[in-house]
Amino acid sequence: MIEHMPSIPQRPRVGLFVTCLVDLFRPSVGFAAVKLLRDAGCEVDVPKAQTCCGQPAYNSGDKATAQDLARQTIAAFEDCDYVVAPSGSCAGMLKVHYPELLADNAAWAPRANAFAAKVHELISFLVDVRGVTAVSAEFSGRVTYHDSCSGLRELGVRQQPRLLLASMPGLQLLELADTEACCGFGGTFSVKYPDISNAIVERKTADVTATGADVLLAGDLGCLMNMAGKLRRQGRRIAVRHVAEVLAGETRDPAIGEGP
Amino acid sequence: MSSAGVPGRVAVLSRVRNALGGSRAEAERRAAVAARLGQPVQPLVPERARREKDQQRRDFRAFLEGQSATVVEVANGAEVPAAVGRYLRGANLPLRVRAGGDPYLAGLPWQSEPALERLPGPAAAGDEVGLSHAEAAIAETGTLVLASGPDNPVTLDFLPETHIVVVKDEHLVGGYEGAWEKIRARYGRRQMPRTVNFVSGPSRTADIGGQLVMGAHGPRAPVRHPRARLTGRPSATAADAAVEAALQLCLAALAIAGRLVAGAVSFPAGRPARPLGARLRRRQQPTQCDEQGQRAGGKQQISATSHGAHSWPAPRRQRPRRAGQQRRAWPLLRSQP
Amino acid sequence: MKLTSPAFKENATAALADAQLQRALSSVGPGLAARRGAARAGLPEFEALREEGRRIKDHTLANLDAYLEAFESKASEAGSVVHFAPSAVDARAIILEICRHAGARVVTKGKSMISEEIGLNDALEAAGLEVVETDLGEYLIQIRGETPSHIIAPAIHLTQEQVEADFRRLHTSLPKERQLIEPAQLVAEARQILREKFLAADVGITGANFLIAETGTSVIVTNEGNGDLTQSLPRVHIVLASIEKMVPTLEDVGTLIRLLARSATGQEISTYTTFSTGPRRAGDPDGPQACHVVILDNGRSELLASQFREVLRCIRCGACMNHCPVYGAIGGHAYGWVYPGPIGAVLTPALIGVRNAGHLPNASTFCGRCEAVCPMKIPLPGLMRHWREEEFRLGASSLAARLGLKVWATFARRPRLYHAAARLGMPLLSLFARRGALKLPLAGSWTRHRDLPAPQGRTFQALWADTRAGVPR
Repeated sequence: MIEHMPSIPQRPRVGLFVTCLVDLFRPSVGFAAVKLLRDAGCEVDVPKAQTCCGQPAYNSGDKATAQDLARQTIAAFEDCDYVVAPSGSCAGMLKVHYPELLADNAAWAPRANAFAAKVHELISFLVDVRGVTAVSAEFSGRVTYHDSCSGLRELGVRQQPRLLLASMPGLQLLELADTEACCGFGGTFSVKYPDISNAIVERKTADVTATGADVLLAGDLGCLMNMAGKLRRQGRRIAVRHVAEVLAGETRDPAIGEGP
Repeated sequence: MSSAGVPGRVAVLSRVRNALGGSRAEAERRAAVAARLGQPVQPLVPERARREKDQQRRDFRAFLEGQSATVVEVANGAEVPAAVGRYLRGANLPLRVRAGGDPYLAGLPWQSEPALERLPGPAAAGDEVGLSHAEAAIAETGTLVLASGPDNPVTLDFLPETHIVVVKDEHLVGGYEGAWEKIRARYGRRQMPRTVNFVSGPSRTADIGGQLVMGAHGPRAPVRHPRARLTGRPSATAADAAVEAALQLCLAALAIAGRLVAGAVSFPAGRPARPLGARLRRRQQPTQCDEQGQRAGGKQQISATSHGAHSWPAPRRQRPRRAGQQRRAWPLLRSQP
Repeated sequence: MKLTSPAFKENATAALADAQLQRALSSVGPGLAARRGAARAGLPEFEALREEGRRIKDHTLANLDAYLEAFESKASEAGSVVHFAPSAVDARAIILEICRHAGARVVTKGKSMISEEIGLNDALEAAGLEVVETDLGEYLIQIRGETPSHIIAPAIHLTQEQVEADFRRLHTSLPKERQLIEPAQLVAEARQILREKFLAADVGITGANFLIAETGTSVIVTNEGNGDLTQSLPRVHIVLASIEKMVPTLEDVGTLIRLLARSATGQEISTYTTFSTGPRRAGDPDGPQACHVVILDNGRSELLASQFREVLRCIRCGACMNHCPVYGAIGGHAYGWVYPGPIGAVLTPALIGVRNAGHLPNASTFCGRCEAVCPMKIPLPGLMRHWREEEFRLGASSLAARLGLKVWATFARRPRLYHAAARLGMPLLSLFARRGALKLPLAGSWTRHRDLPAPQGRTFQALWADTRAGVPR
């Protein structure tokens, strides 16, 4: 149950954009998102005709593929009231870049704009649209939070996760020295320029370690896998999770990069 | 004269024009440009550039002092020479300033400082102190506005190690826009003197190890800006009022603290007077410049002088005078290019 | 300037292994970013001024031909000779001719990235001239035969110890036993050496941060004062500037000045901002006898016509590279040419070709910090993406990358196929997990430095279908 929820005339239909990383690597994030959305009074649908937002193609210069995937995604979600993604970069792709991609297409430009207006990153949707101010899940521990670049700069996601984390009494948030620093993932950048990516993620993990936190949270699975993979390689005992998992109280599964 | 010449001009301008769509909408574009040049669009002026006068004075002082400069206020112009003398003595500098020909400065009562020597003309390599008169002072960033002209050699701002600038309170403006107004009023619309220098502190660099060091090339000793505030004497007559207004002076002086440390580190007491062992060359008769400081041939023949990290403000050492060594004679082919 | 951009990856690897460089990068870069943040916080109108700056530049670029002509007219009126150089070759030729005509032997230079771009120093030296860089940072790298690693702090990669070693090696007229421990002592020595050059110079060459059309004025911005000594002492002053440096009026320049130093170093304003208009006037006691303004195109008119026009708004503050995680990891030399960092990643392919500079726009995480801090709001990541599109169109990316993308795209376009393959593949992949990490012979680029977190096994879509069908999770 989410407190302070404003009363609504009907339950909005939220189409969950799962994101390929959540779908393939960590479904528990998707289920945490569903729980949070339902607790916020939404009906959740997961259109089957979704695969990937198209960032890998788009950022590799393959506009045609990106446009195909944009049309596919838009069509799949068109009858939803909202489109919510547990990822700042995917939500940014859908909200900011789909309209750009289809701007010159007379038929699709208005559809892309209408679609984009409905797109939200998960946590900012809960706070800014659904008016959620607190979660009822419990969590104890020292936590630090990484602001994923796209969420931060394309969508302005910054205060919303902090607001909800602050509503959890046992959770102590210890901020990173530089909350605006990139983690070095950058999608294909991490495998095209692995040494540079490594240098950047090393600075990030040093920053994370320096906070004294036991848990690292963020809103983007790409960043999380990158940072978790580095922390593991460095032998650091810091649990890495998606912020939705903690907010939904779904922390039974092993943290990212941990397992039996 | 140039090898590209007219074809180069045509090439560049036509490429630019074509890049902008050729002659499409050219008439409108040209009209827009003419309009903007003739009547500049008023910019967004930050609040800090629009403050009232008292706050402007405080801001000006605060910004300059933040740049390791000293601001000294004097009540009126008559006190300027004494303030200058006081500063030079206090900083153990020679009582000799290169002053240019500024008539306002020349008209000050220098007889109150008989020991103070004022040299005319552009700065020479051996000058240690320059004295300038600023067109304006800008409160928004603690900036002095110095214009070149027959009376104000530009080199005064950069060659001497200490630069003293006199600016009148009435020429203190809030922001850059005020400076443009003064320049347009003095030189005409769309006109500028050869050089306008915005000076906002003494020379500095952080190019070595990221550490800030003062006195990279220009004045090491910060610019001094004597600043005067009129004491509230009521004016009995119109003439008095005019005098009062004229006497509202800003004098600001800047003194660097850092150089004391630098001096102490590099020159322990008793070290001979030649910093870094440089060969010092000195002009033969430094005071025998003509009006313009020119030597034969239309270009000052100047010799290099060491500007190493001397002990400071220890007593001015006698610089060994190496006789006769002029820097170089300028080549005779000095046709106007 | 020797071009090594094609070897970007090797350069980067070497830079990452260079302990001295890494020390220099970690100490200076973040400081500049912090100071910029403080300066911005200290000026409430800062964000509004960014928007003003963008508008001024966009307006100027949209009318650049008219402004160039206006500038030329006013500058000529003030006694400057204005030259237009279509290319680097032309610019070098013009400048050499001016120097030859003046009988020059010694040339001093204020900092000018354009002069690097056109290879001016080499050309002047080949013609027998002595060229002395007077910006202290530029001087430090000149004596090492190096190139700048940052557009406003060219020697940012050097340590104090390196500078001391260079000075001892080169300034042999000074006593060996002199102390060079403190930066102040090094600066003082440089000042002494360079002062002699200032006074000896026949020609002084400066760049220009801005060219003001209203008055025919060129503007330079320094903290040292070297630009001023460079342009006022010799008998000939040459201003070298590219066409996009144009700004319409004094008021417009005021706005840009409010943004420049704050964005670059966090200063309210640089120590010296100098406005120069023509040679000395009748009655002036000093100043150059002749002033030449060389206005360079060298590819900018093409940029003006292209989807990259916005990059011409740049005022050379360096904020983008001060905030860039990639630049912060590898420094400026790795980019292999004149312009490093995010601005270099967009400009370099335009000026030397995308095949030579292909790596630069690719070596970015698109974190967007550069765009967020650019005083001119240049959409740098978007422009880098345009280059990536260009490379894709040309087939310039690696075969492996293109193939991988094609395979992935084939699946992504077909949801049913995608989900069926994932439903089978992911559980299979999770069999290779060892305590949470995937142990695979593939993915070497990732696993070189990091573990690869293992998938949970079943896909979300598969599990969701189960919940739909009533199967408990």
